[in-house]
Amino acid sequence: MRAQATVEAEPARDALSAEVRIAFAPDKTYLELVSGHEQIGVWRMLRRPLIVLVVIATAVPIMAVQRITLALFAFSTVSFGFVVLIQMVVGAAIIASAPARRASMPRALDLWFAGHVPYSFWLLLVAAAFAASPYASLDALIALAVVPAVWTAVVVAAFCRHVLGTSRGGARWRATAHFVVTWAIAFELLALSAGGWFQITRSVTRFFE
Amino acid sequence: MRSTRAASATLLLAGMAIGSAADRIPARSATRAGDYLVLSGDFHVHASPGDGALSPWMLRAEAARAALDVIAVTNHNQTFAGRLANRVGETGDGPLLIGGEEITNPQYHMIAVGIARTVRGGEVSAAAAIADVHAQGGVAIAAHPSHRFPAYNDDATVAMLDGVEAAHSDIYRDQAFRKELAAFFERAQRVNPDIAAIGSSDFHAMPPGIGRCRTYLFVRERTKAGVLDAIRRGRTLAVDGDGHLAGDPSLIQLLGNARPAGRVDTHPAWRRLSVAIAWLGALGLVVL
Repeated sequence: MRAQATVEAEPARDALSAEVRIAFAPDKTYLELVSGHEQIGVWRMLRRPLIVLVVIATAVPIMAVQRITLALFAFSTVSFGFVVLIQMVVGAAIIASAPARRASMPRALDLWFAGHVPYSFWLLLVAAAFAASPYASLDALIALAVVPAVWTAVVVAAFCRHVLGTSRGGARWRATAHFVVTWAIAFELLALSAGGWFQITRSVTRFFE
Repeated sequence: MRSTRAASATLLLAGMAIGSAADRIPARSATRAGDYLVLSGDFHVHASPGDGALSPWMLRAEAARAALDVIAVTNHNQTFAGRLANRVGETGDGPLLIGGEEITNPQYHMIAVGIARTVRGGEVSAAAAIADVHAQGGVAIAAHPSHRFPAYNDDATVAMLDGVEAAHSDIYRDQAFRKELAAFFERAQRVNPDIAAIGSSDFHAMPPGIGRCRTYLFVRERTKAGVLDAIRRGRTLAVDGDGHLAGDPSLIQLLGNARPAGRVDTHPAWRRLSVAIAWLGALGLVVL
């Protein structure tokens, strides 16, 4: 109980969420957050993944039809739950690869998902752009995904160093593995749904034409 | 939960509640031209599960908002969502839903409307795909034909098609593509004078929305069979987002000023407010 109270008290020290502090000061914030030796329950473990899912389920209908209703939100939650599940599996694999980690698996997963801010900001930005104008440049917004991709790699590296207790080299390869696996899955799903890999290569070619 | 997070969640829920309350679909009256009923259709729409963001039943509601009478669900190389659309279309009122597929091959993309069995796009020639679609009782439409799809360089293949996209949402992203579509449609008309002019949104998950480019169909009856018959007989006009028409001049003359209504945003201020509130709520959940 005392440990849980320590965790609850942590974010209250700052007006901004721990997630935002991680995004802008990953080393310092992860060090702070991992210092408590707490046991967390299922709800605490699922809280941040659920926030990620809520952001996705809010952004998708706004992007697609510039409206949001309870039904659209509910459907998007179900449809895009797999994205969070994939990240959970990838996160669990990376956490399990570090035997010297400084947090329990549930707490490490909780802190893993605390690194979602770069992609959440990007998603909300894309949603805002399409809500403001249906003629927003899709190509430019997709190209902007490079920012959260690189930003997240920095956050993941900090997570590995401070939460998983890896060396700098270990953090680098894990961050790279996460980057590669995440984008490989994304492109594979995209290729599957678009009719084949030739669709992806054609789109990339068109982008640079 | 922190009070700021609770407030953000409340804001998000309030946005969704306002959006739900303001979500009204306007009633429409039928448009007639001569002996025909004029329907608005979009035959190139992607759905979830698959490569679209919205489920068939949500697309149906979105089609009604966009003042469409019929849409075809055409996911890349699969008919699961299309078959789901057929089932949804059998229930209640609202726009007709027709299942189909966007047959996708490096050499061509082709819209098949009114089929239930998947045509393996990666494995067959365009001519074989058209033959399969016809054997299933469907219609075959050249999807966004351009220099990227060399299968349509063959006149014999073009002659087999039932329709060709003469208006497509990508014309608003690429002026050269607009010219290519117009040139291809002219060529297709020379090869096959009865070919149907089709306007499509190719909606997946991003704007421009469903029905941005659309098809006017001159039908005898407001049924799936009536719609497919109009396409087979070329009784269609393609309409782009600015209202420009492409197709048989006699149909354009017959239509005159009796154009079907377009999309109506019933409560734009409430819709925008709900989006803004929900968006701020989601941002608050992340930031606070």
